[in-house]
Amino acid sequence: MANKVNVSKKEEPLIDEGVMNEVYNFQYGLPGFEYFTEFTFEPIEEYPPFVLFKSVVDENISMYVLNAKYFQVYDELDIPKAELDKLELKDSKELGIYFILRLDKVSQNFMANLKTPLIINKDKKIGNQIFLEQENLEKNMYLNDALKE
Amino acid sequence: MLVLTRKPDECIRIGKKIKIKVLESSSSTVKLGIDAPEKIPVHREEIYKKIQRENKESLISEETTKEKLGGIFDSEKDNND
Repeated sequence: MANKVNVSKKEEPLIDEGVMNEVYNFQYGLPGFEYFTEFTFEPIEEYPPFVLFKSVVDENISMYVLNAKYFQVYDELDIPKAELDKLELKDSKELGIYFILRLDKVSQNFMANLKTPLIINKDKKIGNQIFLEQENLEKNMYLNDALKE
Repeated sequence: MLVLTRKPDECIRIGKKIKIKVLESSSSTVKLGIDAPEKIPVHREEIYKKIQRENKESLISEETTKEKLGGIFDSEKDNND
């Protein structure tokens, strides 16, 4: 199925400029990278709106991520209050949600686990990777199927 | 590994701030209640390991060149032109 993400939509910013190139503190790291707590989001100039999420201290710890707003499930995401409280959010506008992308080696297509987003407080520059119990979210969804039409 | 025997309604304390209570137990499952500072992540072991594995598989490597991101959003852009 052809991807029909509308990137020319003027009202939808391609890149969350307020988030980019700032250092975010992930107090407990990420599962698998517990000792890395400082990360940045960098726009990938050639391929917007994709973003590089990488450790400040080790550039080998880097992943492609994409703003959850581009995903069909965005409006259905139900972040538990306990997780929002950890981010010390004062306003929902401070919340940023990004999905980590993973290349499926067989199909060579990118996939996203919709249950394990990165959530950030754009104002306080802190974040966590969470696990969502929602049954309607798929663990491994091809990007082409997961993005909004 | 420290092994402790507990009955329903009995607890284990880990340090000053973490308390684990046995809420129910049956022959095959145990239901636990965990009181921990809200900032400490608490996961089921198998889920945590799965996230660990996926995060490691998500690392950018020689195989995941950024050129492979091309075509996902570009296709629509081309169609609009």
